[in-house]
Amino acid sequence: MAVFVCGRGLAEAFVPDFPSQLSSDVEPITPIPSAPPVNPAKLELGYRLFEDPRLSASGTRSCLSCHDTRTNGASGRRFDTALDGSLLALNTNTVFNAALSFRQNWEGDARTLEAQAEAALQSPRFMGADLNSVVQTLSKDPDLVRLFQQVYDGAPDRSRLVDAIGAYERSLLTPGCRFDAWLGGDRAALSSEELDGYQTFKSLGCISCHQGVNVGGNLFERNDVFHPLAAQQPAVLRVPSLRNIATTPPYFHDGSAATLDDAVRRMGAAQLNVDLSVHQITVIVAFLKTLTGSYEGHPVKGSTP
Amino acid sequence: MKTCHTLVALVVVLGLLLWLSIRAIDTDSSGFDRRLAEIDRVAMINNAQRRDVLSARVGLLRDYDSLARQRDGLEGAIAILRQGQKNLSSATATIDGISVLIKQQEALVERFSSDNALLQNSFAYFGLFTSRLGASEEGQRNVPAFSALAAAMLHLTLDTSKDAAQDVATRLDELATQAPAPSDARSVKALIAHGWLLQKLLPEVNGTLKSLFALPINSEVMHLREIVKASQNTTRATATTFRILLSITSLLLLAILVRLGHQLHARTLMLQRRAALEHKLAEISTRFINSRPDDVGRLIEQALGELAIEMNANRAYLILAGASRQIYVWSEDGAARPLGWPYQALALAMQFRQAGENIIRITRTDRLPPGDEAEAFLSAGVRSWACVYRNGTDGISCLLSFDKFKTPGRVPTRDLGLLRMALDAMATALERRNLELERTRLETRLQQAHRLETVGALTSGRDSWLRRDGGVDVRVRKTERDPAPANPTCRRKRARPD
Repeated sequence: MAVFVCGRGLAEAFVPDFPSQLSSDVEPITPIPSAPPVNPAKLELGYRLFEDPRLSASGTRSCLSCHDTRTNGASGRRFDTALDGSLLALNTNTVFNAALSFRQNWEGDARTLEAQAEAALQSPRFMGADLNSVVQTLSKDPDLVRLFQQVYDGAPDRSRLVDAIGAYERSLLTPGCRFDAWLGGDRAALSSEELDGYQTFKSLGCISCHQGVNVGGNLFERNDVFHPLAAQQPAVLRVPSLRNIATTPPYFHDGSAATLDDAVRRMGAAQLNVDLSVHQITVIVAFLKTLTGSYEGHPVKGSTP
Repeated sequence: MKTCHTLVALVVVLGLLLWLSIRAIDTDSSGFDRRLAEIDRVAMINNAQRRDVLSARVGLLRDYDSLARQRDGLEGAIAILRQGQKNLSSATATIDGISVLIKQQEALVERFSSDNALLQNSFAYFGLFTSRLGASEEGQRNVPAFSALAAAMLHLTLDTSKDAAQDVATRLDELATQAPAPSDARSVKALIAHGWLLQKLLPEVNGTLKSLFALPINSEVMHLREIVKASQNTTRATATTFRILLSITSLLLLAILVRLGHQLHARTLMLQRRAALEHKLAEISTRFINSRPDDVGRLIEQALGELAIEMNANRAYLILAGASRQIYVWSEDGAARPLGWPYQALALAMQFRQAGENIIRITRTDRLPPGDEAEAFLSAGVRSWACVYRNGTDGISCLLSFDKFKTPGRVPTRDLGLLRMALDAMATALERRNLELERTRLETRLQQAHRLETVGALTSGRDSWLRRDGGVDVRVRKTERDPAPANPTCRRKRARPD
């Protein structure tokens, strides 16, 4: 991990010194791959289940209620509400590109999308569903039964339900961001400020944790390496992905950073022990905004609180 | 019947062959290959993961995605191995052990990733600030402390013992007690912060690496490979055994097919011989039908010779029993008949005859129980004997018999059955000849009677002519032209010649 030293003040210490020709082969971030080929009927079934409120105990909320795939794959609220009306403890993660993370949830307690979906469906705080009852309910829907039959050659059951949701979530990738285009060789895809931001992002050491295809999401890290960042619990978090980060405020697991600038500034201080200059924050944010991709041909957009 | 048995044996052997074929090819070779491939994949992924961990440790790994992919790969391979080794308890136990080790390794890799990300960052910052502070003109008085800290940190990177860590801690404390130049204060503070982090992380990361590399995953994977390989070898040995049995059974099948072929060939030959015999019998019968009585004897002897040749016999003879005993004999090479033979054959046939088919067949006379019969055959030099006969009121009336006195041989029962037709034809021919002879004899006697009658008529006519004129010529001519109705008394006599 190279750190470049160019003297005078700390705020100006990390002047970019990258070679003029960069290749994604040597970059610590790689472009989003194409979604794996899936039976269209399975995706249709997964989507139908994802938006189906019958999957919750109250019959009033679906996965889509907190993971709005029409906007940013999450919600614009700091905390979504539990079934009992209270606020949830952690900010909702976006479902976009979740398949590219090595674990799910802030605490990384779900190893797969299917495990995360099953846990969320049964959680009394999230959906509160009894999956057996849900299966019974769904079995009375001829259209869904037909889809299950078409996809699995069988009737609805727990594992098929969760598998279909997982398959759908695996398709929720947002390729096509400008940074990926730059990685692909399109040198005009990034402005000089954005490129400056990327180089600063690397030279400051943000890249140590936010790397890989999902710009994060592949390791755990303490949230207060040098100084407190946000709520102390959970103490160890799965490093969040920075894909579409510009569309998913508020930030951090407690949603305590309302803006990206604030989040960058606090991250520098808490995790790197660096007081970032305004310029550094500006260019890093400019770079982060280039990570916004598209879903179903439309750029991912922010969600209103 | 033999052919039937052979066919049954053929079906049984074919079934056995099929079963052995299935057992011989059902070695689950693809399953073993797949499991061995998965085992190799586990080893390969494990090695790749360890390589990437080391690369990350020295800052050469581009990202940690590969570690996550390797985790998934190991889990997938273990799941496949579990699936394929359900019936092999020793392998299952080893897979369970590997699975536990992989989970331990996964936890260590995750801990390493977290610590290494900070470690690499702090290394970079430590180097940055150390260089910068060393070059600072205002902080020259602190340079020895920076240098001592850098040296201690360098030592800690090589030796993560408690002493080395304590040395770094001491240097950091010393630096913290020194007042930095105002322009260097923030850098010194950052240097100390990253120094403390490194002092903590270096031993931890190295400890994590040591624990990770101490996990005996590769040796367990090799052990599992040996187990699966041994199982594969056992299965192959079993399959080899079945293949050997398969080869033996194939030879058995070949033998059965050869036997069946021989039987079918023999059957074909028998049918050909039977057809030839039937043709010969038809020919003999035709000859008898068209024969003149005085040729019957010659034709019988000719037929005996032909039949003997067909029957592969050395001697054939026909005996008509009864008052007018007749015997016709054909001998190969004109060999002389043994004394009393074949009349003795008639007596022997009387001994051996049974109710039913009127056939007697003795394939090996030397195997007869000792006694008069065996002695009779022995003295006559007959080694095989077969005959057909007709029963009369006083026992056997007619006997057609074949001797083999050179080599013993078996005469098929069916052929003997056909020979009854020959016997009938010969017997009929003889009867017809006898009837012809009798008719001829009667005609001769009738002619004699006619002559006598004519002589008598002439004698009486001359007397009458002597008594009456002109009547003799007319009566004599009329009698000569149509002798039958001339004298009713004479016709009656011809109708009853005896």
